Amino acid sequence: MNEQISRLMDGDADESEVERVCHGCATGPVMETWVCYHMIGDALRGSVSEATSAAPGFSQRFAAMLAAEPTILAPQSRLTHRLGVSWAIAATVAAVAVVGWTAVSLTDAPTTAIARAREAADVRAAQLRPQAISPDYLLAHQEYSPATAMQGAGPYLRAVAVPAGDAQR
Amino acid sequence: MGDREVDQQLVERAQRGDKRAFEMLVMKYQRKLGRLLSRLVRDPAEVEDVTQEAFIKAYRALPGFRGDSAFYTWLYRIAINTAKNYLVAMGRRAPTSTTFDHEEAESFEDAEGLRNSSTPEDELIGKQIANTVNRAMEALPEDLRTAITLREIEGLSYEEIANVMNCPIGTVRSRIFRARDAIAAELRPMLGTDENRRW
Repeated sequence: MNEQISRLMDGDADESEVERVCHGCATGPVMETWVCYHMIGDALRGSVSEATSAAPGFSQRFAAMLAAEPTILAPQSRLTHRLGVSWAIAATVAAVAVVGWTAVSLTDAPTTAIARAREAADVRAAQLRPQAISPDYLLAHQEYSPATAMQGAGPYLRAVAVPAGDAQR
Repeated sequence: MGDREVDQQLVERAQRGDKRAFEMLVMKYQRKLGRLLSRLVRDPAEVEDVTQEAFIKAYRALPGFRGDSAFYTWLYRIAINTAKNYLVAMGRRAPTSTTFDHEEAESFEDAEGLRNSSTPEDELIGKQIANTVNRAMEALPEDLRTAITLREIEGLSYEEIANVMNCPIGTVRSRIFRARDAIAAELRPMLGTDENRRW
């Protein structure tokens, strides 16, 4: 266990070893080794006063205080957070790409789709242009007109010319 | 992996509900934090109270810690604010924000110019600890002494030490552990018994 503590201090322990050391720190000797190894580092770096400014029994008093605290649970780890940020960035880039591609496609359209749309509009306008149609033609084909009030009865109706005197009767 | 990454490993475990991981961080930094706070709050009993309060506040705020800064930098800010609030609550003058710059957190090792509030007894024990560690270092075989010096004083990684000492990383790992263990064997009696721990 002491070798794992030494490796953990130096960032050389894997996750399972970190877990074992943390679990072992529930017992006094493992935590004492953790403190002792750090104190050696402090002393070697010349931080002598740091090595002594801990009040005797601090660890026991603090452990009691911490035990009274509700256990925190922050499920979003740093890695998850980073992944979330990465996904958000990727989604943003994808959205910008789709919008950009669509815009570029529309910008290139005049030669194709927009030109065709213009031609179609011209054709339609030509079709709607009023033409001089003879009244005789219209009268002869009245029965086929969809605008007739009695649709379907057209073929059976006949236009009749009535002399003005008979009409007044 | 540096000190910051080691702390982050423990922080993430604590965030997943492992209180012992947070206790390990507390035990790692309590002396450093206690020394910092003794510059603001002079009375040793008050220093301990404020230190404990700062750690508890840090524990409660831990879900919000995302590792954007080093754990100790974050802890340092909490401790300074806790001490200021304490002084204000006690009707004493809190230092201005410029007195304790956050950037100072990273270079706090430098003790030059600090007003030390340690008692004569603390200073005596500090000297005894330093002498014990130095004697144990002198008694170490040369390869162990070099390995732990390069690690603890020079801050080199295992890989860098392996290059300097021209040996495999596994050997470096073993030498550093054996050096620590040998020094710790001399130091442990000074840390007190279970009933009277000095930590």
